Amino acid sequence: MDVHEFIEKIETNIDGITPGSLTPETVFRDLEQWDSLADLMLLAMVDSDYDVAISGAELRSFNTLNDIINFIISKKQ
Amino acid sequence: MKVTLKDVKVSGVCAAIPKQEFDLLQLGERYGELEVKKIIASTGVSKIRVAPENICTSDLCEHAATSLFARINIEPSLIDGIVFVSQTFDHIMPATSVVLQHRLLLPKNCVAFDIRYGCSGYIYGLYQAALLVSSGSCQRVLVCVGDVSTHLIHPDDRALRMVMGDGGSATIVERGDGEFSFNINSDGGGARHLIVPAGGCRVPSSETTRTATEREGGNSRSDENMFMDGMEIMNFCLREVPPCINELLDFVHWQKDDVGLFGLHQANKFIVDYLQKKLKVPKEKVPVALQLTGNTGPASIPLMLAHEYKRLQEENRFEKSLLCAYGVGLSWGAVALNLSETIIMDPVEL
Repeated sequence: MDVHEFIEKIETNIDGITPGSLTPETVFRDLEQWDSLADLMLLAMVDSDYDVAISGAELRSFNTLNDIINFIISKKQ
Repeated sequence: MKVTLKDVKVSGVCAAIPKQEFDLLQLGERYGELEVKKIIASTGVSKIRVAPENICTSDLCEHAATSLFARINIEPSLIDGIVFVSQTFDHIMPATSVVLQHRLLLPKNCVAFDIRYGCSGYIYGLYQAALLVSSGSCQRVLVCVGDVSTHLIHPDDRALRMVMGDGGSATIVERGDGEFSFNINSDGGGARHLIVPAGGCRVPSSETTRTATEREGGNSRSDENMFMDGMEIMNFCLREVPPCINELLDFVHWQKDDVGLFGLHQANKFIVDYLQKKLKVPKEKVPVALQLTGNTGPASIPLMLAHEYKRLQEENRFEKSLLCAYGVGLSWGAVALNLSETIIMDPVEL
C-alpha cells in the first residue's frame, strides 16, 4: 500500500490537521485533534478504501500511524 | 432468516414526538462550543426531542395510534392484533402491548405482544404483524414502536446524549394484495457493545448499580444507564448492513436502480451517509432526517417517513421500498415492500 497516500487521507479527513504535518511515526492518539469522531472516521476510511475491518480493541492498541499501516498490510497478505 | 409473506399491506404510518425540545448547542457551555459544533456537523443532530419523566413510549405510541385511526377513519374495534416494540416499557410486568390494548379501546379478541428491541425494532414489528396477518390470525395489526431513550441515558454521557432523542409511532398492517420480504439476523456475541447491564434478573438493581461513576472518555453513567461502544457499533454497521441489503435485493430479484427508497435507521448522519456511499446508491434514495429529532431508536424509520414522505411521493419512490434497521442485540434486518398506497402523516406532537 501507498503509505504517503494513507497519511494524506488522514490529513484530509480529520478536521484541523495541517497537511504535511503527519509522519508514519506520529503518535496519532496524542494529537489534539484526535477524538472519538476521528476513530470512527478512521474505521470508515479503512473499511471503504482498503476493505479492512479494524475492531475497537485493535484500534485502541495502536499508537502510531505505522501501527495502523502495518495492520492493513498484514490483513492484505 | 429470509422469507416472503403474502397478502399484506401497510395502510398507514404516524410518528409522534414530545413537544419538549433540547438544543444541543446548550452543551457548548460545558464541553466547549467548537467541540459541540464539530460533533453536530458529524452526527447531523442539532436538536433532540425529550420526553419528560411522565411521558413513556406507550404515551407517544398511543398519541400516534389515535391520530392514525382518525386520519384513515378506522374504528379501534377493527384492530385484532397489537405489537409493541421498545426497550422502554411501562412496567416490568405486564406487557405494555396489553396495557395499550385497553387504553386504545381495542377489542378483547385482540392478540397483544411486546418485542424487546431498540433501533432494529421497526423491522421486527412489521415482521410480527405480517406473520399474524398472512397466517390468517389477524385482519389488522397495530404496530407500535418507539423509545424514550433519554430516560436510560446519564446526563453526563456526552456521546449518547448528543445523538439519542425520544419518539414513538404507529403503523397499521392489514390484509391486502402486497408482499413483504424480510432478511433478519442476530448476533448475541455483540450484546455487550450496546447494553443496560443492570436492573434485570442477571444483575438486579441495587445501590451500587444505581450509582454513576466516571467511565471511558470522561463519560459518566451507572450500570442501569445505557452504554454504547461507538467503535464496535460502527464496525458492526459497516460489516453487516450492506450484505443484509444486498442479500435481500437478490432474494426479491430487485436491481439497486429499481429501488426508489432505501430507508435506513437514522442512527446518525455519519453512518447513514457512509452506508449510502458503500451501497453505491444516489443520496436522494437514502434520506437523512434526524437534524431536529436525533436518533429515535425503533421510531426512526417511521419518523423519517413522516418528515420526508411528501418529497418521496412526488418523486414516486415508494413502489419499491427497502427499509433496513440495525442495533441492540446485536440485531439487524431489512424489509422490501410497496409503500405507494400507504397513508403517511406529518409528525404529531405530545
